[in-house]
Amino acid sequence: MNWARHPTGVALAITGLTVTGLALMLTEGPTWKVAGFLLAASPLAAGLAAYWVQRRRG
Amino acid sequence: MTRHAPPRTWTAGTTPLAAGRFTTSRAFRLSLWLHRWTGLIAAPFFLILCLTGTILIFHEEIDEALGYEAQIEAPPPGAAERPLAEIAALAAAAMPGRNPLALVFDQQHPERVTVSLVEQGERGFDTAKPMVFDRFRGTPVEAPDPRSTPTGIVLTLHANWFLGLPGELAGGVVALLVVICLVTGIVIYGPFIKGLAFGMIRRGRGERLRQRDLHTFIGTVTLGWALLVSATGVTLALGDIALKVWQATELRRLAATYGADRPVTGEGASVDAVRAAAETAKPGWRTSLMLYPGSAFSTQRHFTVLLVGPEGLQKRLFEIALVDAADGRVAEIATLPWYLVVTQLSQPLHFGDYGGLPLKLFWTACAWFTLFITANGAWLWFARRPSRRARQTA
Repeated sequence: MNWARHPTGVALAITGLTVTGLALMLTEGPTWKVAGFLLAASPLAAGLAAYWVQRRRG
Repeated sequence: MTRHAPPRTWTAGTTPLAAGRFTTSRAFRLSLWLHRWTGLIAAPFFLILCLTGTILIFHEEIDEALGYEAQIEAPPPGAAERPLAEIAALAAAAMPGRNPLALVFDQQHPERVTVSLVEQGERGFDTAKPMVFDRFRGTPVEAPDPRSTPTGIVLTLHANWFLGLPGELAGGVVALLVVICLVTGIVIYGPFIKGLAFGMIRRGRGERLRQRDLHTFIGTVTLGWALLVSATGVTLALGDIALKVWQATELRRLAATYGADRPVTGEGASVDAVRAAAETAKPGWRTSLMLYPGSAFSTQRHFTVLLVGPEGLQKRLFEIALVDAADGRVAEIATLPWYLVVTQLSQPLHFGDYGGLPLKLFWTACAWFTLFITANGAWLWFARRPSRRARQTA
């Protein structure tokens, strides 16, 4: 899904990732905790990565 | 929260006609108006909530560093817990004129128990004084009232602005404004980023455009967190009302069902027997809180015992055991109604205290990013004003 073409869809998908990840972390199993954290943090991490890539491209 | 016109030029690959129609639609204009004004009204309060929230994320570390954490030595090997009845009697003797209202068990620190004491006739926690005890030695432990520590004061500011229930509800209104601001932000932001690559911030074309790109970009990546924290802020603000609803409905039903208007005369069952009965009735579940008969959350005749489950979500959701104070028999084990389940689950999702340091750092980062877009959204609105005046003059 392309951010520029489907901005609302991407925003909702990103929101879904974060919320699902944080909800998964409520379960006590360590695997779910790690998976949930990775899911929740992925939008932020992807955003930072995309920002640096775009910045380097100028 | 911005007051800006949508871009008039569109790059290849986008659909300018549809977007153009959308930006002139009633839904777009209404959403833009709501986004702008809910954001601007909530901004100063949200600033305080973000700052206090950041402090509260690290309240355990701060309390420990400032020496407000109760220090209890490890129990001697093979030591047995002292009877709770003995600890409650010691607490009552230490505070003449006060009676135990509740026993609070800390799941993170099983070696301690807190006795909340209130004056004769008091039924709620407003004027309660806590005393922490070592459960294995039965000795009082020096620990400040959590409401009077620096982080406790910050929590009161964050939760109710020192105004009690009205302050809580006002905080809920601010959280609701933030939710509306975020949802309307999703509706309106599309046209502003069409044609932009993800992560692209346009430079050299004016500060306003750069700040607007930052606003939409950071807003997108932190949207899920901000929505979750503000929505749980609304539910937590309604937590006291939810508790009052439970008192007026469920607790009243239990009292009517089990003839609870007759107080126990004589000695009755010991607090240890009550706890054992509750835990036996729900194997594997542990006592988290015991409320004495006559409190605002129990009947005249029964102890209310909150039990927490052994694993997963059960650790966060209580079941309520109603135990007869006369003979220590469990009258009923009730599950939480849905509105208290929502309140209970909202707490970790609001405070981010369930994933150790990584989650605390994630919470802090999201809080500060959200704070940044709140501030730069307000700046975008203020920076817009001169150009509007200039346009009017022209």
